[in-house]
Amino acid sequence: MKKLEKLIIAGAEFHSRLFVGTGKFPSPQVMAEAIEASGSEMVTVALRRVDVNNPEDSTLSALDFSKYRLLPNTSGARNADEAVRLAKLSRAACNTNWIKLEVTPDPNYLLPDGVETLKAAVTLLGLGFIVLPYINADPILAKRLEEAGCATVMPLASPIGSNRGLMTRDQIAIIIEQSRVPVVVDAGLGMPSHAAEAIEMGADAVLVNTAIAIAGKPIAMAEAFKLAIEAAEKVRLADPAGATVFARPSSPLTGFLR
Amino acid sequence: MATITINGERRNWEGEKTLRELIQSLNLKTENLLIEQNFEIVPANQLDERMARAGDVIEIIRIVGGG
Repeated sequence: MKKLEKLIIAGAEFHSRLFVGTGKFPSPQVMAEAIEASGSEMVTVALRRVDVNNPEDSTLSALDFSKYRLLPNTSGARNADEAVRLAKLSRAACNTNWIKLEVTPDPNYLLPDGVETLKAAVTLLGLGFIVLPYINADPILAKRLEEAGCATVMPLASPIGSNRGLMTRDQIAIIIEQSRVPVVVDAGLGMPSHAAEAIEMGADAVLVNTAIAIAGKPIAMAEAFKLAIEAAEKVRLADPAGATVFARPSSPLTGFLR
Repeated sequence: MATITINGERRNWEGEKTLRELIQSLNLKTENLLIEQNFEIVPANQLDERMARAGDVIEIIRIVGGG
């Protein structure tokens, strides 16, 4: 089992291995309380055009920006050029050079375009961004992004918002084995057990949005994810014994019945 | 008739306004907004200096919830 090390991304240390997205919550207050309950230190945000005919938008009004590192994303970008443009806007709007790079031209599964993602990453790294790319669970692409200078790799567990869990488990295991930057499992983690499984496997962190935001009780779900991840961290420290094919008796077989 | 494009929508446009006056004329507060003029980010401290002109492409953007 992979040794549990401090989580440091681009020089910043995180005590929580749970990052939380801020989309789709039923209200700003519930979002703020759920993020508080999650123990997360970094939250993702997005950029959108203001609807000029309906300008009120209080989505993030209840969030105390001083308590969390903001990780703006490039969601909506369909190619590298759009992602770079969104990243520059995000840097100005959020006052951070950290960017969750996502390029998702496919509207049905929102799968990331690896070619455009690598292209955008190289451009953004040249502009001084700290790049955290969202990728399919492709170990070769993960390596290429690491070599380019990305701060993490963020392979998907299953399609965004699908809550299907670690469908890409075997590929993520290879990424974890090979990566020299933190591996953040992002997208598709639907239950706390999925997040725990990712951390037990050796992932450095997970990013969860939909599973918390659209749960019947988002605050309780946020805490459930927090506890599951803490449990998985303890597993990493506990040196699990591993599986065998044959049974291993838990009680002594004294032999006197034979 | 001269026009200006604001968030993808063409509007009739006459005279001159600063970008801050333009935003206020749309009943928006300038806090927490980011303005892009002709694909160039406008620093917040320049909203009173920069003029919106006919033919401009203006994007008014804000931070929202996202994953």
